[in-house]
Amino acid sequence: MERPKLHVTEHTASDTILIVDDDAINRKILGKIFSPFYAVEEAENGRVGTARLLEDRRRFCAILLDVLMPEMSGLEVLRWMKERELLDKIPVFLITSERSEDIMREAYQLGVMDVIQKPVVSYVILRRIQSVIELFEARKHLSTVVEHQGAALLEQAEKIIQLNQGMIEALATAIEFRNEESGGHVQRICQITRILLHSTEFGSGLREDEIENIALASILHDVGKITIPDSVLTKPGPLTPQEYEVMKSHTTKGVAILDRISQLKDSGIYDYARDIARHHHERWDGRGYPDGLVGEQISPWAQVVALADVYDALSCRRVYKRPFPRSQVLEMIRTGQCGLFNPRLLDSFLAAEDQLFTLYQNLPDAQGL
Amino acid sequence: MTLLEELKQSGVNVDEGLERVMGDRDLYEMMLGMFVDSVRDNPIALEEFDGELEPLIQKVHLLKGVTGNLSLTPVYNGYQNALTLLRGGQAAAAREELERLLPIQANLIDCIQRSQSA
Repeated sequence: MERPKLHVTEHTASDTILIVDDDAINRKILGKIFSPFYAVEEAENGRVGTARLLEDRRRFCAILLDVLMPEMSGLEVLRWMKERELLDKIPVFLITSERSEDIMREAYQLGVMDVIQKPVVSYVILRRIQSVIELFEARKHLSTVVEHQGAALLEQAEKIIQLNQGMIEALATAIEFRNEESGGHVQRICQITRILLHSTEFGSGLREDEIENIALASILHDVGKITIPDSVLTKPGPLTPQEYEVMKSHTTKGVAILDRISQLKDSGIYDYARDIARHHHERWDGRGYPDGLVGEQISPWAQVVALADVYDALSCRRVYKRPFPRSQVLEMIRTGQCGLFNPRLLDSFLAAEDQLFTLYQNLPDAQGL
Repeated sequence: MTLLEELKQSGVNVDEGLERVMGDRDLYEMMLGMFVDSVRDNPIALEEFDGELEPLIQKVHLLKGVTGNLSLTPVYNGYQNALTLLRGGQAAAAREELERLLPIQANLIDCIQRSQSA
């Protein structure tokens, strides 16, 4: 006879009831009651029953369990299932003629779904067990749906993050092109910042997500340059003192620009981007700009981007200079020819420089060529 | 007279037993045969009261289950009482209960065997 369809949805193959009872008559009766609706498997004691569960527990939608059995009793089966956290996954019904208070208490404490007295009444046991199976199936279905929705939302969020990042990079790259640079500068600053914070002692104490936000924020360090006139920004020769003042203003104007991007304020990069844009020209000895901050007054991320910016500027061709060889770049940084840096940051930088140098190895117009 | 009518006359709750197997008369009759096998495989002798009672308790427990499932009410009630008495340490009263039910059980077995061998 073809079994009538019960409310077992396609998300699971749990459509089998396992009857664990040493009495063949009990197994026949329960099988007769449930076989029109479910596949039925029988086990003549707890040992056989647990072996079936070990084979593949996922096919079982319920277990009907006798209490007194040879080899392994019903309570021993429950304890075994409890240890393996299976009682949350498969509803277990104790089918017993025992009325012992102790057995009932332990069975319920272990997590049995219900205790049904023998001799059973067919329509009662059928309805009680079907209801619970349907409930479990609905719960499973719901958690599958929630899982899928969660994954879809995560994917969507990931796309939005990538889009935002792409837009930030596009803006920064547009500024670079105006600056007549190659377009790779901001990418390299981002990578150098990430490497220094991720792989050296200087970044210790920062979480992974904080490092990612700082690396992304570093892309916007020169956003204020969009306000600098071409005559200053792309001037091949040295700047006059007045022009230099104009150029220096890209730090404060960068903050003003970031403050106008309201969407950025809700993002994790906003505070870092603001701080980096304003303070990436500060120096450890207080001789930087715009605020003349000294030592630890400068945030670690602004310090890192400042060093990354100098390292990249020295290593690449600019409108006003040729790229310096690697050894000279390191010497200039070490001896403070481009301003003093935190000695601890300098140590971390020198320790990671082999890794940083790889960013320039295939770059035309870069250091070491 | 059919087997089931005869059992009814002996006090067996045939309707309840049939309902338990979803009205499957053949299955019910087959299980009556299994009851006969269970009694044969777990014979109760009153002499057992003179020794260790645990094996006797296990047999009474088993037969109580079988007779309950088939709604063999006259013997089921007797086994149920006997089991309670045995577990309660009242062996003498349990023995009286079994003495009373064993002839009734023998009569039921006779009916079943006659019908099934016919």
